[in-house]
Amino acid sequence: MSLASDPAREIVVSRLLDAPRELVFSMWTKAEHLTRWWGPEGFSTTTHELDFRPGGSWRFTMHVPDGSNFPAVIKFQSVEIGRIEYDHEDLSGTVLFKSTVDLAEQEGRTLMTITTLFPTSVERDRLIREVGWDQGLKLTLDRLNQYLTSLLEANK
Amino acid sequence: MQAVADPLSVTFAALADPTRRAILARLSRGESTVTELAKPFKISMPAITKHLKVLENAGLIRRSRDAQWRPCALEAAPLKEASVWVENYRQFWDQSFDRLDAYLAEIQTMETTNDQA
Repeated sequence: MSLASDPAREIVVSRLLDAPRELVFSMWTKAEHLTRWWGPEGFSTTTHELDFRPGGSWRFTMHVPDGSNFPAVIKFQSVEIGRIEYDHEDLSGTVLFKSTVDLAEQEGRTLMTITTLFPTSVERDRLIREVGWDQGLKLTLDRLNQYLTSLLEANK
Repeated sequence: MQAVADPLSVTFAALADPTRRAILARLSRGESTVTELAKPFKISMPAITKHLKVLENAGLIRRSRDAQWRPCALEAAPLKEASVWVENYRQFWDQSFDRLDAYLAEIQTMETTNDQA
């Protein structure tokens, strides 16, 4: 089955932003913008390379408030104004996860939705083949998380 | 955002099946024998055993080695880990959106001010 259509391995986050779509889109295109909003409060990024076009990469180091630094690579697959697609890679070029950013206009505001698919790995793909996935499963990771929480509560 | 460890993928793969989730839900209320576990399902005993094997390999359940009935019990740690990962990921974006929202407001205010100047 197509991994891209497996809701059990997706996380969807979205926010209606009070700004026109062009402006929201431009937040992805410059290092000076990205460092202002990528990551929670107190995080910052140092950009080593930002080549915002299909096949181009954003190589950066994320600085976390506790003093630790995480190098990261985002490889852009598509950079259209309504949709940005990227792979989050490790330094060796292995894809950790794939994300799609949808930017939808809503009366002068912009709904930004980020859909992230779980990492691909040979080991995991093998497991999926052998174990099999429930094709009819309509469970997002959010709902899965509610389920996990209820299990943990019951198990106390 | 840190890399997802492979064990997490194994956990999610094991959780992707409704029968296995139902088994875990049953075990969250206490340990159980395989026969008891199989009761609510209209599937064969070997099929149940296969599901249990997947759950065991994923570290989500443990089975007593010495007791005659080899009861199954829930192993909470990997569930907790999966739950924490999803929560962290969600928080990463919620908080990034907060900052983006504030930054966009700041930029638009500056633009308006410049326009007026």
